[in-house]
Amino acid sequence: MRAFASICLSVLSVLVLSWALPMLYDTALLSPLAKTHIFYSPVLEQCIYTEQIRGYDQQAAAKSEGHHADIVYKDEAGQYYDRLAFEAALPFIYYRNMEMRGLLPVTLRGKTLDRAAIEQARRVLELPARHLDGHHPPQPCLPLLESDPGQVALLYPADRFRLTEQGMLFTHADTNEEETALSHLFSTALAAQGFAFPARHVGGNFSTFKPYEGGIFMVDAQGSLFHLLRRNGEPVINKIVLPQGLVPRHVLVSESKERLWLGLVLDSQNRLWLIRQRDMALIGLDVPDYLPDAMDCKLIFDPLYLTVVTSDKALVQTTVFDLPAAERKSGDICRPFHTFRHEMSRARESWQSRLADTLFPFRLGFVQEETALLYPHLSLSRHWLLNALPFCLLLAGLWSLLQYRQSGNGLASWQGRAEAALILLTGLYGLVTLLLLKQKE
Amino acid sequence: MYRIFAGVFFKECIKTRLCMLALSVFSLAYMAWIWLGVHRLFLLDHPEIVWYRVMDLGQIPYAALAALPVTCACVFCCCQFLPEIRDERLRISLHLPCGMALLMLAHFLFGLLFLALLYLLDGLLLTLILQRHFPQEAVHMAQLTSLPWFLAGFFAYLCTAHTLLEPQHRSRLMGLLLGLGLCTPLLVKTTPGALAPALPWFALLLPLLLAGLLLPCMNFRHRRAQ
Repeated sequence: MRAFASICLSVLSVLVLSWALPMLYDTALLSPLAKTHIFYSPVLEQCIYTEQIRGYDQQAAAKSEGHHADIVYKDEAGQYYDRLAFEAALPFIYYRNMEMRGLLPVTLRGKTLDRAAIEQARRVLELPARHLDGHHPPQPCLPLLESDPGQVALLYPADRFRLTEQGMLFTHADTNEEETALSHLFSTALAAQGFAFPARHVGGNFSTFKPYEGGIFMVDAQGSLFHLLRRNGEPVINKIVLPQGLVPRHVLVSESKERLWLGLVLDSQNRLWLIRQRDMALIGLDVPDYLPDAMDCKLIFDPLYLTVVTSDKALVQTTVFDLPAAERKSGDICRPFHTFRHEMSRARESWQSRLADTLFPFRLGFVQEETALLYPHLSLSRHWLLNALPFCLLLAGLWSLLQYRQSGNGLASWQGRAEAALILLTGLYGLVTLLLLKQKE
Repeated sequence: MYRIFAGVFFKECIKTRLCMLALSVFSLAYMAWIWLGVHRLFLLDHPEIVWYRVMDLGQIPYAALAALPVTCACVFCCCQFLPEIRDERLRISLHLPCGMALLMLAHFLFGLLFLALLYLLDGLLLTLILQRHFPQEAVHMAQLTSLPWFLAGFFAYLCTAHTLLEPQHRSRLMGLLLGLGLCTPLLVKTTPGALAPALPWFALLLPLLLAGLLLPCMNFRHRRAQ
């Protein structure tokens, strides 16, 4: 019974330590690095990026002039830049600094662009993996904003809806009870347009901090896409004509002043489609190697290009397109003219990460970048065979030697062998566990 | 076995009745305080704005509840075991010819049962408080959010028992280590409902800890002291 109880406590202790010790180590020595910021420079006509590094980079330090030597500015050819040169290579990003330095308007590809033109065209759409359904706790009770509130600012509605098998059901916040008349109005209107309840996905920008209300998109039970706008309390429904083979999975809505692109559709084949505001046409983007469940995606629009930046934990990829023409047909797919992949500095090894991979044969974690949900997961040391295992072997040997000198029972007894095996398999975690559990005779 | 359980439960009921009553009253008062906090939100702002904050921004108006289960568990465990440990009565009980494991299991199960009932009451009150103001989805999310806190209470109870029963100072650290290591991930501030997928894995550790508690019990019985 003693052995059984000891095993139970040892398993628990090893699990707790495999979470706590690496976490404490990371807190003390291994500061997390943000993802690399990468752009397409219209001046250099290649990609240029900035990232924080661990350790020392002589060329970066020389460019930094003694200030923030851990921030590197480089282009895809490997050439280093200082901060001012980096900003000058990205006039569409740092246009306000450019204007202050008297470098605007700028002429690129035969177009002369001033601050107003850049501001008009610039926008960013972001689709992080953790925003996808199944990657965060569900929130099925949503607001539907009035698109014509009769004033400049948008108003937050006093009711919320949910899409169930029974229809679109509204609940009023004042009474916390269902609004049967409104529910009936919207449910009937949707059913008349062929909407099959319940919805698979609802996409919208549920905020009043935007220039106008662009409505919401709903994917029904059969995979059809519907656009719904609330205008003067009435539903305005539009069934979107989908290109052949497109089954929407997620819709990102982001209203902007230029009113050209309303958002983005991610389909079941991991393809991205821009939604044109004017006619709800879907224009495809051919982004190679994009895995939405593991990658964050960012679309950067500027007056000349559309840059799609996709990144997982270690790699960032830039795919650059000419800005899609307004007259493109729905279903057209844009092809990129430039792509660039780069291993981010956060994925590179440092002495701190190598030491961690030696000390800890495995670690238990809960947080993962691609999901807001917390799952326990064990990950093996990246250098288990070469670093962690020899270290565990050393610890097990030392423990056995110590036991032999103290009691004369090293590996001779089954208990000694079991203890050595525990340390061999779990390293420091097993050692600390035994130190705490070992009773004085 | 039934007689042992009945006897131990009766004894524990008599012994801890005041503590159980005090903790129940304290829990009710604490939940009343949480109700006041939630109610005040709706006095200060329009309901749709409160809904926006809670359901879209992820604010947790009942966040104070996180501390209640762990506090109740630690206090109850001390009330249950400290008097008998101090007066050596428990050690005498452990020498009764009825099996030490069964006897201690009955003690622990009594504690876990009381805490389960107390947490059920807290959970029910939380549901009633929120149901009045929020839609069903928000109430369901609150239940998912508070479930890890109640689970942390069970771990806190068992780990406190380990620390109290273990006679050797160094091994007491194991109780503290397990208590901190098991409760911290469950109590850490996260997105509401984010811990839900991890809960079955945590629940699996509960019987493991219960079985592991036999070790400090045996050490206690055999006076493997400092």
